[in-house]
Amino acid sequence: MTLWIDVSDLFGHAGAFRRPSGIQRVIFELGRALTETSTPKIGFIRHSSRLTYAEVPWPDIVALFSSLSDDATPPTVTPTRPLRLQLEAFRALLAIPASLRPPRRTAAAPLQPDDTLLILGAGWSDSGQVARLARLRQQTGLRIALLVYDIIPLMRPEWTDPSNAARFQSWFDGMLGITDRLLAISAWTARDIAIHRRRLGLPEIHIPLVRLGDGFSHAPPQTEAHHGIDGAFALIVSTIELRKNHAFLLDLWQALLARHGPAAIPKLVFAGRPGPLSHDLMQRLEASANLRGHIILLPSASDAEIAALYQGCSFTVFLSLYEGWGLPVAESLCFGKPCIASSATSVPEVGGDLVQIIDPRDLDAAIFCLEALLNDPAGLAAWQNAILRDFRPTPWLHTADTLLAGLA
Amino acid sequence: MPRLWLDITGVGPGSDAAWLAASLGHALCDLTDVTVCERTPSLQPHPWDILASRCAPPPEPDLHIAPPAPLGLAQRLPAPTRAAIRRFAATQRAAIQAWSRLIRPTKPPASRSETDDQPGPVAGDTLLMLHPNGDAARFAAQGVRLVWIATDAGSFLRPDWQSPRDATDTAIWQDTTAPLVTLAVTWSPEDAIALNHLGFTTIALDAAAIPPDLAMMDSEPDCILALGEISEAGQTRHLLLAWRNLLDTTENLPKLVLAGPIGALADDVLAQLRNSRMFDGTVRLIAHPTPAEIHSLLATCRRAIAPSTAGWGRARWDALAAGRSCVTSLHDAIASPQLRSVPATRDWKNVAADLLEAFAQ
Repeated sequence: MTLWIDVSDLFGHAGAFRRPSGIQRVIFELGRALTETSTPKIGFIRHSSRLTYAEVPWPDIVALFSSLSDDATPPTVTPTRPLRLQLEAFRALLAIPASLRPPRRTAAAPLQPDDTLLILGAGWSDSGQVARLARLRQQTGLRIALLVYDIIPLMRPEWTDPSNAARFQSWFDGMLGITDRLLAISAWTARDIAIHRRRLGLPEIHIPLVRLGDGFSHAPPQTEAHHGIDGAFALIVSTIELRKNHAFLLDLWQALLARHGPAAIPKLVFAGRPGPLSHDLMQRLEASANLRGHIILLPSASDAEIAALYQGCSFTVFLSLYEGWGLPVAESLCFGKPCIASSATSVPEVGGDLVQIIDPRDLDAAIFCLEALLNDPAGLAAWQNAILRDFRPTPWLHTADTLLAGLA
Repeated sequence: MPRLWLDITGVGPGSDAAWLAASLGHALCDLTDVTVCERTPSLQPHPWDILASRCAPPPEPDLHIAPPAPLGLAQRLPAPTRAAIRRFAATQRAAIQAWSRLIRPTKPPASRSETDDQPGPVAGDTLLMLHPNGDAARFAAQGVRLVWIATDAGSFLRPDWQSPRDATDTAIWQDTTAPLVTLAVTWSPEDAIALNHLGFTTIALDAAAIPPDLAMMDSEPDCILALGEISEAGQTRHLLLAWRNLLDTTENLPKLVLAGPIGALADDVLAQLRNSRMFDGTVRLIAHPTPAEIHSLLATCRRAIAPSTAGWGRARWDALAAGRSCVTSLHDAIASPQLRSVPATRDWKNVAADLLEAFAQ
């Protein structure tokens, strides 16, 4: 019996982007941890044509992910270029490892009826995935397992472009029809899946939880970059979008500045690029000159710069309105930094007693919390010491063990 | 004889400020000589009809959603067919005519022929500005008394609730013109205190409801009626968040009707309404409602709410005039005990008289 992990998404992402997103990092870390387990046998596959899947050696995946994490620019081929440019691109293609090139006439992976195929990627961006997997399952008899990060486009369609929401629903409902085992990364996501299944009239099922590991092994050295920010600052690392509730932070900082003046309030760093439904917020920031310079936007910070920001900040804030997990909370703790986190959805599951939880809609409570924190530097230091003393990151090996138990 | 100039520069079509300008302007006209003017680009006198036509709503936002049942005069515009546009234009004209009849001054502007020949305010005149005006400094230098009718002092105090362009204009205006303003008039004691801290001499007057016209129309019975601007300052984002939570936790929710002009920083709110198909059909948007529509909605709603922290508090007056209570934001002056004794029958003639009395002091 073999546990196959579909890494098509990792290769597809590498062809389009220079840096891995959270999902690609999870695929890599979980894959690496699974290869270190003794049983069962682990294999990796990617779809090589419309109907077949090819096996991918683990070293090829390591090479691919390293090239992404090192900020290398993967060579690309643009067929519509003039002949000279096409030749240059062809030479560049020859120069990259064979594993990174599009597979060609590859032998199909040796899939057996008692095997399991684990889907970890962002399949909703691949319109053919459900049909392909359905055919594969029918032909080989293998089991399909799906790790679900969140189903926010189904639960909060107002925060998603309608076409993307429709695509996601089509993919997820299709996957529900062919998936033999559903797993979720948080109790909240499992709850959302159960609600959605009830809406569809599907029977209740047990959905095992797989807690993600904390931290990433390919994080760059933490001393390479400097954040370049004068004075104390608070940090939020997240795409800027309505769901992440940056507007609430703007209101919060506005209220704190009005009450205490700029000298008493730390700056607030938004590390992340503007995403969906951020237009009004960006207008507000521009109109207020970023609260007269008290909010600092860093839309394209590198991994090394993000690490430096985590190390240099006084504390972090993550008051998202809806999540499937809450990666910035875990990252904050990994860097030994106190985090004021949202009480909404899955976020409280991440940090336990080591983070302070507040309602991301209650401005008065947030003001009270921040004022207490800023007026008590000794308390903040004690909180940080408690994190450094007590926080035990979840190893990815533990995640792999939980995953295998959930699949059993 | 010194004249009063009512400057409607920057007053958007169908906005609450437009309704205030029309109501207050015509009430003032019964008490003194008033000329309506606007900067286009220099300050020009306008015919009085401009007040009524400025109250007409702009085209509805395109939300790609099936239009709800028609609601009175300002019928929502469905797919933009030629016939629909013609019908819409006709109803707009009807709305303007109805409004013009209703707020027509009891006596015609006495000095109209004189003011038509006068290009702008002169020394001794008073310029009532509803919006920051780039010419104000020049007029102040000529001896014109500047009075700022702060219809939306809340936004003035919060630049992050304005578009960047408006915020820049406001900042420039505050630096250059505010010191020249003789008197600022607000509709909320809180705003008056805040503006006094900024150096303005400010008084707070009680406003009045916009008079509805006489027709009663189809309405949304038993709805939760949210009155006020659809904008960041109007707290629409917060309202939708709260509504989504209610949707998750409550069965048989009544319909939420958002009735108000589309204001600044509403793009993402409208996108959410579009993305969610108006929150599974539980939310209805009536942008730029006429006073008649508001009155009709108030008459049959289950509850009226006004979450806005900006504007001149129109929602509470409309609700009181319709005999309905209204849940407002804490910022709103309705929370102030002395305002509870103000009779709901207060009209714009009272407001105009109070204003002239303030000038005299």
